[in-house]
Amino acid sequence: MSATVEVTEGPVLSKAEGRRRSINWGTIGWAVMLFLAVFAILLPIYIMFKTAIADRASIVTGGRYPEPLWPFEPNLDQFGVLFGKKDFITSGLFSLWVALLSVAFALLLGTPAAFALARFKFPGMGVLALVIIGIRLFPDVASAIPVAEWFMKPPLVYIPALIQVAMAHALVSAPYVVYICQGVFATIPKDLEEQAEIMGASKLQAFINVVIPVALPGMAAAAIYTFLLSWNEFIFAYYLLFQSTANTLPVYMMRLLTWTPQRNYLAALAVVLSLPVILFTFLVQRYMIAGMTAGAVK
Amino acid sequence: MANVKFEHITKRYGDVTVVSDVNLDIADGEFVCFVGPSGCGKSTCLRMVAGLEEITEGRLYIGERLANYVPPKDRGIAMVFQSYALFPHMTVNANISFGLKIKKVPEAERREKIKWALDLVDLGGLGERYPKELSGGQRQRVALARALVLSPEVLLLDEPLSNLDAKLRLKMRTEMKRIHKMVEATVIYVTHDQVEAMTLSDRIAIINLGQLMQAGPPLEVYARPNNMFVAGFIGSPPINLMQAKLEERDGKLFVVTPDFALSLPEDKAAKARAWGGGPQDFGELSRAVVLGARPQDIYETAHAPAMPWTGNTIRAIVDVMEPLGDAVVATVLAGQQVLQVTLPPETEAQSDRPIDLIVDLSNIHLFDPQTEEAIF
Repeated sequence: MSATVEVTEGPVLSKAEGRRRSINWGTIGWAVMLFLAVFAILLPIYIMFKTAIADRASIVTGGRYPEPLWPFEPNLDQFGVLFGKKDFITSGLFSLWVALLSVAFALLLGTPAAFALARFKFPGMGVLALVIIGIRLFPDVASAIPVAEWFMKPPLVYIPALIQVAMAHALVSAPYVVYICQGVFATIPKDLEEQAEIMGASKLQAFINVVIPVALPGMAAAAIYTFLLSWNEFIFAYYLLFQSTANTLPVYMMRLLTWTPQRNYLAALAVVLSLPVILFTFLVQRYMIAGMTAGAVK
Repeated sequence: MANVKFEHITKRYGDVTVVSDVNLDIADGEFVCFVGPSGCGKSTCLRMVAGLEEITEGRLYIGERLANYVPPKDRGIAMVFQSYALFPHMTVNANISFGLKIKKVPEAERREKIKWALDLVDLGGLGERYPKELSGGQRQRVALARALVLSPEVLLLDEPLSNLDAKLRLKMRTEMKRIHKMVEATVIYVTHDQVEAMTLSDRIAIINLGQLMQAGPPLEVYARPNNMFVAGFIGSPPINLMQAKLEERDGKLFVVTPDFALSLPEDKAAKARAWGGGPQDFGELSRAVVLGARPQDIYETAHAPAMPWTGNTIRAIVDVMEPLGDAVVATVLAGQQVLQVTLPPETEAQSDRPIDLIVDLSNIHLFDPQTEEAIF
């Protein structure tokens, strides 16, 4: 009998505890703040999506009724219009090529430097590492001008615009590549290379056959970061393409703005511009974080 | 097949000398263990043979060739790292064939060799696995197979068993010996575990503070240590070392501690007298020495074999008893001296009770307290 009493008393106590926790105003306050932050961050994205799929009546109200929270007749018409435009397609492909090339340039430039920083000890190394990443603290607008000027003079002016922009973007992302990859390389035991060398590999073979494959997930993070940076980048592309007919997507969008097209058309373009970012962020966030922290810990 | 010769090998990092004037001739096909405490320079010695560390001074010969400046891949060596250093992105097969591929061995021959190596380490059928899918013991075997498949003349092993649990370590120790018998390569094996070194090697090289203390067959370094360090490092439980004095009593030479005295047999007494340059009379002038007696050479009087000496008994009190099954390690107090003694399992000794001990005088050691060198 007495045992039963003890058993029933247990849950009663814990329920009381549960109630006390549920009216914790501090927790509610934090939850509200979190909600506000998420709301503020997601609001523009919501507006962008909503506008992109809006029918004409949902955005041109003439002030007679409030703009609906969700379009009256959601549709993908504007995407159809967008993909029907030749200059949009050319700009999109141009952007893609620039981004891919900039990844290649940045990795070629950054990984050997990162490996050197991770593996070899030489005087002034700490300062050098700091300078490489510290460079990125300069405002982009400020560094865009000397870079653009450089590209406007011979010999660099003879390089095709596509490669010019990719080179400029690689310049911007190389410090991040060095930073991330250095952290990745530092986590790879030296034993692996030494083992490869003992087994007959040259230093280069050990680097290519052993170090790079093991570093690949971390390097993928750097590559994606570089890709997205180039895909989003506006200032450098704007200056470098000033006299060119080619556009990257952000530049294309800016040029569209000058003749104020319909808002849902612009929003559709914005969605297309954001999609790779959203896609990559969800697909590879694990690798990104791994790459970032690997860099951060070192 | 190749011998390895260290000639005055020295390694310095800046002002720090980590290996100092090591001379050692390792014969073709010999299994040599470098043993010593952490940081004694044994791994550095191995890495110098591998070509992973530059040699500051001295000459290293592999085979008849001066190898100081030969790159690792041309030394005819293979190595197993403590971490195993398996390539995590490659299957077991790919790991093992890595070296063969670089040496451009044709594929058919490669496949044959992989199979041979996997069978040798008893890993047949696991070739398609990745290292992360293997247990610690299996990884260790892959590392070994990967080294052996290159048919090295010299096989270098850097603490290969230290990451395994105790039971597996014993099993792999036996395995190592078996494999060495089959492949007949010269093996240099680094370990900090003296038992491993004793059981595996043809010869042990004991290293301390970057210096080669002694090199010799296991039983020889156990029975005739050159100095106090070797005596203390080799043997388990460790040798009992005690401050003592040599004293002449009635024409006989005694080793005297504050708590007991042992009379030296004639041959040992002669060596003690010869110590420090010629016959000496210790009657007036007693000389300080360090006495060493292994736990296995101190017997409980009741269970002792017959001994031809007198004046070799110690009376003590048992402090702690540690049964091991086949023996009991007793820590006893002889006055102020703390001694460890290995007793048979049928001993009647009990904690906090007196015990009569008798010392096998043929196996005791004396050391010079200044130089720490052995007198005998």
